[in-house]
Amino acid sequence: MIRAARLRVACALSVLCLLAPLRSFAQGELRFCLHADPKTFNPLMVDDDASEAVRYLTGGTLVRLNRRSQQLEPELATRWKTSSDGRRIEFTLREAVRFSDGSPFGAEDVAFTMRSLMDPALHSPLGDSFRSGPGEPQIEVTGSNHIAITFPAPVAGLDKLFDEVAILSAQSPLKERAVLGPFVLADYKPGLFVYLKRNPNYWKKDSAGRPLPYLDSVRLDVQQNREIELTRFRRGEIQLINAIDGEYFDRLQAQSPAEAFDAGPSFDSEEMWFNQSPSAPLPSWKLGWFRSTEFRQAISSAINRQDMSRLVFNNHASPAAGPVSPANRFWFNSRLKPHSYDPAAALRLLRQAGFRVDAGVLHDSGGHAVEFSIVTNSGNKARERMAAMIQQDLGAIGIKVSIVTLDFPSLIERMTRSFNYEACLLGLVNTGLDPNAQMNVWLSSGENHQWNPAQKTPATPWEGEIDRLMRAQASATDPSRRKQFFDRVQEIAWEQQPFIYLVHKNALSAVARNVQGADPVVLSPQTYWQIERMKISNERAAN
Amino acid sequence: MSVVAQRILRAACIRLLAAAAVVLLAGLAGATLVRFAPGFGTDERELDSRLSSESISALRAHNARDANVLVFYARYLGGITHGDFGMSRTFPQPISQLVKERAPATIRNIGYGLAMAWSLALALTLTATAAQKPAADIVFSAAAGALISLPATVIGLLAVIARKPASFAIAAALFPLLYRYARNVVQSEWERPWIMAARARGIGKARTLLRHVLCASAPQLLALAGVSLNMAFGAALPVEVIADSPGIGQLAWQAALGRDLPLLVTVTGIVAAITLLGNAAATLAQQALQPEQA
Repeated sequence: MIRAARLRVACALSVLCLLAPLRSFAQGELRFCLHADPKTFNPLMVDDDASEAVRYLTGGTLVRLNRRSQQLEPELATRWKTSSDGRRIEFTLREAVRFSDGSPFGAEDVAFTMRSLMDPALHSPLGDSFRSGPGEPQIEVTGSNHIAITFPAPVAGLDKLFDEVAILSAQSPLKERAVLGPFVLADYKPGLFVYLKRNPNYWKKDSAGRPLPYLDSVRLDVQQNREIELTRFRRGEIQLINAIDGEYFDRLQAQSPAEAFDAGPSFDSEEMWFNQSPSAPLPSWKLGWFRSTEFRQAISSAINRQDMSRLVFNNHASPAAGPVSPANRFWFNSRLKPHSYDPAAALRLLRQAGFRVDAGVLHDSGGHAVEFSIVTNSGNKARERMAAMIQQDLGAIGIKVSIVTLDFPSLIERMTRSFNYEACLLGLVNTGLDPNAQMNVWLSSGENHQWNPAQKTPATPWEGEIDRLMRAQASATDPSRRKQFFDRVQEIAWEQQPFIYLVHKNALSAVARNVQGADPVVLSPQTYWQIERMKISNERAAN
Repeated sequence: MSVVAQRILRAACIRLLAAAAVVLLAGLAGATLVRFAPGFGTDERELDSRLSSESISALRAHNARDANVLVFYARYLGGITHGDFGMSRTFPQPISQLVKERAPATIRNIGYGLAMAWSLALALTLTATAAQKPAADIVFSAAAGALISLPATVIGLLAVIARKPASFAIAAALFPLLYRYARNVVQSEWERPWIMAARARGIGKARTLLRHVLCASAPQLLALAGVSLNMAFGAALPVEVIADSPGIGQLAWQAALGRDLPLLVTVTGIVAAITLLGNAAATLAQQALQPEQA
């Protein structure tokens, strides 16, 4: 009896000893901040940064975009093939994969996810990205691990779109809480935190065969105040900051250079535009200025982008030429250079368009003094300073600019409902690499064609040309052909200046010294895109 | 039941009915203000370039469903009778759940804040009254004056920098108001002839203060206690935002930013109810202590 008990104890100890090395790789808790509560935990409905962070950490996708190489890599799909007409994609799925609750993963789950995503009543931004033409996709489950999806029209960059599609379980009673990603949602306290635990059934292993992720848990503290976020980082209470402000970045770099990362120009751009909508309650002469290509080009030339990058962003930004940042290696049009600062050239253009300067004030041909207001969102210090710099630069050529800051709902109302504004300064957040994500911005019929949205027919020939090129690139499947079309769109935008692109902010981030495996990049999520291979060492993070 | 008790009960019933009416009106006024605030019915998602025109139209139609404020309010009140406060627009959760989750943080912040502010204000009041020295008065009044000149948001920021909790900031915002009022009340009682007579008969300072002056000041201090609850709630709103304390104040701020009509109406109702109940409790307590004045 005693011998049997001893044997059992010995066996248990042996098992523990064998498991110990494996367990020791599950290391610690990573903490960082979300700047708002997630609006949804349904991965198909994600439309905000906080929900996107949770989806990235918990969702399992068929393919994953390597944020460093910007190339697709296999995940839950071991192979995939897109048809030559860009309408059909076939996936071969990984075998013996289980959801976090233990339910098996297979082609039926992918079919269920795609059917849910493409439900027209869902109005999912991700689903709309796949919707290139009328009709519903045909989903064929051709085996337990094989699925083919045929769309009614070609979908440009089809395979890359699957980077965002987190697969749901068709059978699990937990619904979207059953996940295939490295972490699983364990707790959520609104306004406080989102707590994610390691997914015990995560399929991925490291090169030594050890189960991933290494981390035990991730705690996402809801923290709106960026100043407090930085203070907490310095105290060692959090280990990562994404998209850190330039001013805070410099403060951090001065104190702890090893923890501050500047990955170069991000995908985001800051731009201003003039309201050209016929519905705008503006005097006809002002609409006339705003619709004048020479006027927009002159304004663009009168703005000193270099100074803006230096003074507003502490050199953590670069002058922008167009909608695509140099960080987007494939789609960036390297032939385009930012409009150089040249007030004399600006005045020449304005004179050509019938404007004249009297006693230091610019007047149009009808004798109206040129003055307008720029609206922007309140609470964004960088944007308020950019507006002040534009005010100063345009003052030098006799244009009086006033600055109006509004909270976001009021600003959206003016941009989309009343059109009661003259010029607007905002930023465009580019979440995807592919220009298809900007279709609604460039098509003249688009709701996000901000300078003159929802046109029945293109108001100008060059907008008609952009419509044609955008549709052509969306239906072409050859990447180089698509690039040619979109390069031309960028050139027209550069010539016509409907958006006056100002700067591309740099992708600034902070990673504590005790975090191993982080490789900050420009693409979101900048600091934790390799979350499954990240570890926390025992070194103190706080300074 | 005594005449006094009947009078208090009647007064309580009348106040309760008046409070219910005021809360309902406050809710309607709040709803109207939000409805006609710029940006009502808009949604940041409208700027998502991935959304199709159909999805944006659907989003706008969904957000415009509360455009008629009277219809909204009638539906909202109908829901309340079934215990349903509706869904928040900012947070996709039932409002009752949001309030339930956030209330403990605010109750804790306000509770500790009030306790700290009252303790400090009373301690300094009694010290200054007992001392009757200009130097003590000057020091305490200067401290209170300095704090009273700071907005609650600045106090909240200082508390964050000093790593102090939100309750500390609430206490710092309340203390100067409580101290100045309590000091005036206690000092005026201290100068009354019967107190001076008691002192002349050799009753000690401490006993005079604690047994006589404080008792005589109690009705006014109780009234102040009722008002201080409202003041604490008022201070909690900005402090919770600055200190990122997940309470009702932060919820109200986020609701205002998101033009979240049902959530804002609920929070308005809660603020109105707390204000009225605080005042009513103070008045009733005053009536109970001074029935002859009631």
